[in-house]
Order: sequence, then C-alpha cells, then structure tokens
Amino acid sequence: STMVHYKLYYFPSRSVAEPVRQMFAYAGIEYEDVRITKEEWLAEWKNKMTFDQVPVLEVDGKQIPQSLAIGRFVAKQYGFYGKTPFEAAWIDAIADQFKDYWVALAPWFYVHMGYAEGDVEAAKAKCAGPARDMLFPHLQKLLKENKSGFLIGDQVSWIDFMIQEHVTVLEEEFPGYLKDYPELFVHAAKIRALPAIKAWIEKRPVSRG
Amino acid sequence: PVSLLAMPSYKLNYFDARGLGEVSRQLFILSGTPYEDNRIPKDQWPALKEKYGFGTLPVLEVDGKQIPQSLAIARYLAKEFGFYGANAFEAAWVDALADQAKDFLSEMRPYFVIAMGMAEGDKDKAKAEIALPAIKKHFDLFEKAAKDNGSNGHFVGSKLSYVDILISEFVFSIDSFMPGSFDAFPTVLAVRAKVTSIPAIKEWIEKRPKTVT
Repeated sequence: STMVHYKLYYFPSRSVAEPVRQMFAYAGIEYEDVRITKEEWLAEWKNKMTFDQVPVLEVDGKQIPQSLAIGRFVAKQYGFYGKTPFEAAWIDAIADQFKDYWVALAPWFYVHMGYAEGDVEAAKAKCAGPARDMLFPHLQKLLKENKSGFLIGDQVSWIDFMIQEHVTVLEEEFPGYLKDYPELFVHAAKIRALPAIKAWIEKRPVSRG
Repeated sequence: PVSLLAMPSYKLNYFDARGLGEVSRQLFILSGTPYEDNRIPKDQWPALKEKYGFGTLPVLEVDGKQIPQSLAIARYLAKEFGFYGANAFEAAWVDALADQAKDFLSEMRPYFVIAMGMAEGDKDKAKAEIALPAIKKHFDLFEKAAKDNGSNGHFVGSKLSYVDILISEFVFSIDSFMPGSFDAFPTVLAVRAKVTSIPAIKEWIEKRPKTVT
C-alpha cells in the first residue's frame, strides 16, 4: 500500500504542534517536521499556508489548518481518540476546555515569555487563578477517578499528550502554579516515560516551550 | 430504522439562547431525533452550576451521562447523525472551520459585550476597531473555503455538515446587530440560504424562542 506523506509546518517550538509530533512518534509514523523561523514565516511562508497560520498538516500535499483539527485528524487515524464515541466526546471536551483555559492564561503567559509587552505581575494577578480554576480541578478529578492513569479511558489519547506538554511548560516557567494538583505531575511523568515518547523527548530539538 | 427503545435519551442543557447550543439543537432536528431542550433561566444557573461537568453550559446528557463543551457535543451528534463530512480529510476541514469560527467569536466578544450594553464603551468605535476587522479576517477565509469547495452551498464536501449550521447561525446573530455585515461574502450567504431552506430548519427557525443571541 502507498504510505501517506505527512508534512507538519510550525515554528521551532513545541507548543500546539507538540501533541501531534508525539502522536506520530508513538504510532511510529514518519513525517517531515518542518520548523519555520519568524523571519522565514513573514518572508515566504505565511501566504503559502491556507489560513495564513501555522500549524498546518499537509497530507499528500493537501493542507489542514488549525492545531486542534490536525490533532483530531491524527488522533482518529492512529487510535488516540478513545474506544467509544462517548470517550471521544470527552477527549474533545478536554481539548476545547484546554483551549478556553489557554485563552484565559495567554495574557500572562505571553508577557512572561516576552512575546508581548506588559506588567507581568499585574497580568499574573488578573489571569493566573481564574485560568487555573477553569481546567485543573476538572483534570484532577478525572485522574483521581480513572485507575488507568490516563485522562480518559484505558489507553493513551491525544489529550494525554496535550496536557503533559503543557504541564511540562508550567513546571519550567511557573513552578508552584500547580502545587495543589500533584496528580498532574504524576500524569505528565507517566506520559513522558512511555518508551516512544521518552525516545522522542531525547532526540527532539530543544526549545523554550 | 432504529427501534425507539434502543435510542438513547438526549437532554440538551443550555440557557434560553441560541449561542453555542443552537448547532446541536439543529442536528437533533435534522436527524429527526427527539431530545429535551432544557433552557435554564440565568438566575437559576449559579445554584445549578456545580451539577455540570466543567461548570459551564451547554451540557448534553446521553442516558444521563454528561458531555460538556459546545463543540464536543456538536461533534458527538454530528458523528452519530452523519453531519461530519464524507471522510477523514473532510472531517478535518469541518473541524478546522468550526475552530476558526470559534476563534472569530472570541475576537468578537469585546464588541458584543459593548453592543449588548454589558460593558462600557463606544459602540461605533467597537464596531470599527473590533467587529469589522474580525469579520473581514475570518469571513475572507470562510468565503474562500466555500468557493474552493465549488460554491455548492456547503463549506466542505457535498453534504450538509455541522459547520454549515454553526457559521450560518453566527451570520444570523451578527446580522441582527449589524445588518449587511456579510454582503461582501456571497458564497457564505449561499451556505446559510441552503441551510435555512431545509424544511425542518425553516420551520424550527420560525417557531424557536426568539432570543437576542
């Protein structure tokens, strides 16, 4: 059979592309991991991408935009979407709740990372607590209730990779932010220890976030 | 044909609004599936919040088991009832356009709160600086997608998908605040025309509760 040719276009960072890279790594799927610098983006790549955005996944030359749509597509193709429609719905719900949380966190996160101007302490005071409350109590409850150690069901799914990547960033950038949610660190360590993920982490390009 | 006894019971919990719950209501209607359209009055919500998964609405109950998050619900129903594209690649594009529509809504929010009197601000300034740029940015993409799909009245493929309904509803809502906002996007308007011409949807639009959003 002819193998599908994948190209994943993103910036030289982990962020919203990383769950896709981890799914490919776990499923043993070859793909071109195209990393575009800011200069290259503006100079030549922006108008090649269908929604003027990255990430984009090219599947045999045809583009799919939007990180979560890409995530769902790859998750469906390679078995990271739960075993039932109900589990898939909960995986979708967590992905969307994560995005809502991210939107709430972003004003603080962007200033902290230097992507935007602003008063980092003021942003933290405004955003940190409310954002956290939107997501982590719910994830903690799911992890407490699910004996498998995964967020949904009894096998690793798309959102395990997504949440693990973000918790890793929080550990690096905001130590103490999740001190009331130790289950999230146990979960992140479990996902990082999966052999294919461990191998990928060891060989992937290093980036801050 | 599935025996009514084998069908799950569905209860959609939301506010008395169209908002992000309407797409799911229309999926039930299009598929001819009975469901309980539970509209929670805003003043009752604080006391009920804890009952619902993520403390937000909408929440779908399927035989009493909850699914939160508006688009997770819509995707679940779209999968069940067949409004999710004809293959995995089409499904990805349906999802991508739905996520882009949600991004559009986020960018419009600062305008909406002013336009609806829920926040201080100059409505005309908000329209010029927030709403019009957001509409142009996102609807250029939706117009292009509809055209690239062959201007056949659908955003993706050759059949109705949930994103046709989703974007049509956003057009309806925003047009009620700013008439004519989408005149520059005729192929998008053609998708809405096709959705609203479906007899079951046309009938629902005429009889559904009239709400501001």
